[in-house]
Amino acid sequence: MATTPSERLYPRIRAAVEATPAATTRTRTRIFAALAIVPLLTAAVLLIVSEMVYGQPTAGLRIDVSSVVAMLTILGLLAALALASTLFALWQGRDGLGIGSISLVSIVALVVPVYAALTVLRPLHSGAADDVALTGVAISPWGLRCLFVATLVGVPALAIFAAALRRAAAVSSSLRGAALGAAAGAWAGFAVFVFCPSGNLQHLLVGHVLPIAIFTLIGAVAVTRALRP
Amino acid sequence: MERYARGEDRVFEQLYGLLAPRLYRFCMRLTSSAAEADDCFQETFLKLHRARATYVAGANPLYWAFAIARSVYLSWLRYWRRRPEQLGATRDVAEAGELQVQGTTPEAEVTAQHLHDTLACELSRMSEKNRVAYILLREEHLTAREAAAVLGTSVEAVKQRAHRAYQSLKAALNTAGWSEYGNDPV
Repeated sequence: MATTPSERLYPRIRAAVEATPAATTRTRTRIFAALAIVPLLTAAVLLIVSEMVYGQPTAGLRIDVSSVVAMLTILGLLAALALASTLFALWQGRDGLGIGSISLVSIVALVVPVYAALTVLRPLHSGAADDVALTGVAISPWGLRCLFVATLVGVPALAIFAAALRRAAAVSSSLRGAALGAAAGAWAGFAVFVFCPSGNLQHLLVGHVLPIAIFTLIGAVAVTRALRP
Repeated sequence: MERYARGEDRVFEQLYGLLAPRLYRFCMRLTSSAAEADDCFQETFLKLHRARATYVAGANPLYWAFAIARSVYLSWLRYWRRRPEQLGATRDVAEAGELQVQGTTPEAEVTAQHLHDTLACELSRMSEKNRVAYILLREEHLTAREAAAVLGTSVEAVKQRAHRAYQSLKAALNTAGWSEYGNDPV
């Protein structure tokens, strides 16, 4: 059996390669750009939307906050969660093949529960802001406004991450897509936490936690093909 | 590869010369016929070209190419699973060609061909995961860590898969009449 390529293959491959355009921007550059753009985008969206809805920036950090220390701690942990999940999901490693599947599974499996543990188990807000009398804004128990804010942050973030790793995941591309979705969801969750002063459990679960799970799913389903070489 | 990734198209021939022999052999082992191996090899090079900006400087380009080749093959498997009628009658690896043994007796050639056919048949029958782990470790001589990176799994998983492949090859050889301590069929 021949174990070397036939001579006739080279001209064919050469012709196909010459006829096929290839991206020239290195993946590392795109990753750095993504790491710079996504936090800026998150900050811009939540400042604008919070100003529009509540008449003040970062309403979730100002209205009905039970403890400033707790607020700062949770804020720091959520920022760390978003940053860490993003760095691991985008990591190319020394061999260019990214982190292993076990680490990717860990990201996918941990982001939603960690976020829920930080924001739902002991809510920062008492629920007083859910009364329209306090803020002058009616907060839906289904978290529709928060779902919208999460979409405003999560969809572009996921698109930017996918563009950064386009054709770069030769290994475990589905898991990598899911991890990128979880990372985008973590940024969306961070934005919603800063934006929303609600303490209603149903609102927190549907409007704050569910989008992260949805983005993880979208990442696994929709982004995977773009990541394959 | 680093120069090619930077956009120097003229080094393609050099790169092809360096990667082609082992990459083609790997494609041959992945697929079940020479025609499929040709297709896999061509598609791998095309994808390698399109993804060249994603190459990380200092990484082993051959292992990166192995990962792309496997990705191509897995895409085919997914495609065939969705369209089982297109599985087609591909020739088995064992039937794909003659083993070339030079300077030996006809009996030795027949014996070698029989051994080769048995191994090739068993390799093509076992699961893709086990087969690739075995190929990378035993035939391409990657370390367990390198093979784990190519397969996107843990070192332990690679070792287990390769061991399972080894066990099934051993069982197939025993069934075919090959003893553990000699080359002659029993």
